[in-house]
Amino acid sequence: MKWNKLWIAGLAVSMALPAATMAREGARNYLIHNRLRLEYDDNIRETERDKTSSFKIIEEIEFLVNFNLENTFVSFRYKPSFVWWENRDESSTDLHHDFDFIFNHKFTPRLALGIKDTFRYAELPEAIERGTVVRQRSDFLYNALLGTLTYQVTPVGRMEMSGRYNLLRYDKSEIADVEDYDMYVAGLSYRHSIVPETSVSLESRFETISYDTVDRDADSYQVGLGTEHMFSPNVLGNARVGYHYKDYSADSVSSDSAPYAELNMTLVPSPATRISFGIGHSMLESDIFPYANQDRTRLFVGVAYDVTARVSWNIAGSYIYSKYDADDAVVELADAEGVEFGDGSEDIIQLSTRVTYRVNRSNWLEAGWQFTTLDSDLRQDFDRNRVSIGWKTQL
Amino acid sequence: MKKRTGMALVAAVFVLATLVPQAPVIAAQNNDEVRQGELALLLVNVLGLYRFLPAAPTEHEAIAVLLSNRIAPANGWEPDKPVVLADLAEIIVRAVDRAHEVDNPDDPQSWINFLASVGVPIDTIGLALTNVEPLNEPIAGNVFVSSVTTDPLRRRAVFGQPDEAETGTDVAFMVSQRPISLPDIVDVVITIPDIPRRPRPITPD
Repeated sequence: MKWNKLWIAGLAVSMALPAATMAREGARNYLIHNRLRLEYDDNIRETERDKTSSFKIIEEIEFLVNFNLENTFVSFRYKPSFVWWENRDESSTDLHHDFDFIFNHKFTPRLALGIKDTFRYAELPEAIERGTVVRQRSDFLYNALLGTLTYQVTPVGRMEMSGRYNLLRYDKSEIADVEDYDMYVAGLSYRHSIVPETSVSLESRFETISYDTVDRDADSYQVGLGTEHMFSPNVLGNARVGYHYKDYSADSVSSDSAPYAELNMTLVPSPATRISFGIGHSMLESDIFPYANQDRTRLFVGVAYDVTARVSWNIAGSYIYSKYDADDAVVELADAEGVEFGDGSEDIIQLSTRVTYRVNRSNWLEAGWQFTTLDSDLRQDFDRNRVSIGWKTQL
Repeated sequence: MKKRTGMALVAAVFVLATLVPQAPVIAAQNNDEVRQGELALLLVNVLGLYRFLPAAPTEHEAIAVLLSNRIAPANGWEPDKPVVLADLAEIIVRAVDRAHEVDNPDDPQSWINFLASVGVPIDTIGLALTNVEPLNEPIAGNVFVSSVTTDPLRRRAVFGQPDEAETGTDVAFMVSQRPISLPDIVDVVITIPDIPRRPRPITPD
């Protein structure tokens, strides 16, 4: 498979390049980390009833190398993760791959190009509900390639032209038929600095998403304004508002239009504390077959606190409210199965925290907890807790 | 057809915008001064933080992720202010995660002295950055920030298994993207009778 060759190539590059640059003076331009965790997971298949719990051993190794030349910056990161499950009948192991690639180049003082690729290849366990397999075991591949060309039009004005290509592929045809997609995005922004602390931007976006099941395809247009502002040297935020129009290929689904908005803030109230939070609302591609759209509101908060010079505590939380409208269900697909789909909504809460103790400059001990709860009209509810202890070392 | 129209619209706006009369760019290389905002963009590269940012981040975006990693001059970031030696010293010490070893953090000279004591030259920014390594424990809003954004250029729908970083914690595969099969939905529809049913549309056939 193509992606297998890709990650093998990524691994080879990640391994070879640091060795080739070890003679360089100064600090290392690469890092290699190993992270080993023992975890207890109380609901490995994310089901409401008949929960299965399991201990896990998670082994991750991360390779990162940067090349920082005069006008060019290149970075590779590869992180394979091996998971062993103490109690999972169908398969006791998973192997996941994360690969990130970054290329930035400055052609002239005015003109620059940024390319960023995010590749994920992972395995998903099957889901069994009341003795019935509701989701087969499946591997999936996700890739997002983003390129942005920036041109400094004036000392205070910058033009950004971007293109993005996302793809999602599942191995199992039953899932691939309804979930696989290709997404193309084109964007144009003009950013103007009013004062050094504040900039405003005019933004337009065009997005087209194409599923294997063609009736969920849609084209989207966004036009809006953005702003960035530094309230103080330790407090900054950005906001984005505009209007979103979405046109579906299915005859049974009429077009939608709605405003979108988001706000993000980062603040440092004390030297030991960093806080970030954000909220956003927009139309979005649907996660649930056969709906072609969802209206989603989401907020998050993250706090990082240095308890001592060696101990740090981090906590993050997120709440999602998704609304699905019966009018956005593709009737042709629903009728084919003899099922009618109504309005529905979902509430999802995720909490995550970790305490890290730095033993020395190369070793860290950690303890973490993750909690997820899904309350849905349209699919099975579930709660899931994951508790882990781990050791990370720099090689 | 619609795709072409959208592309043409975007291209037209870009062409129009580039026709704006151009004034000379005041680039950093026109003089020896480097602004703090420019330094922030250089730092996110060498610290390995760039992957948490969009492809062409703004100075504000770079500063936000540096703040989250406790990397800032004594008085915080001021993007338009020229970088001075004391600020650079403090930033470099924080970037190499040795701030707790500085004797008197309130004294700007103390940061410079510390770097001198460990043999790290900071005569120029380029030289100083050669001493900075990728962060061991980067802190960034990755999963939640990328999924909350309304911008389709920045939004990520899928995250790695088993976990990705989120403000110093781990977050697994996004539950909102948990793939489900049709039997899953049929099961819910059948077992929950109070879901409002939509009347079937009347069609010619």
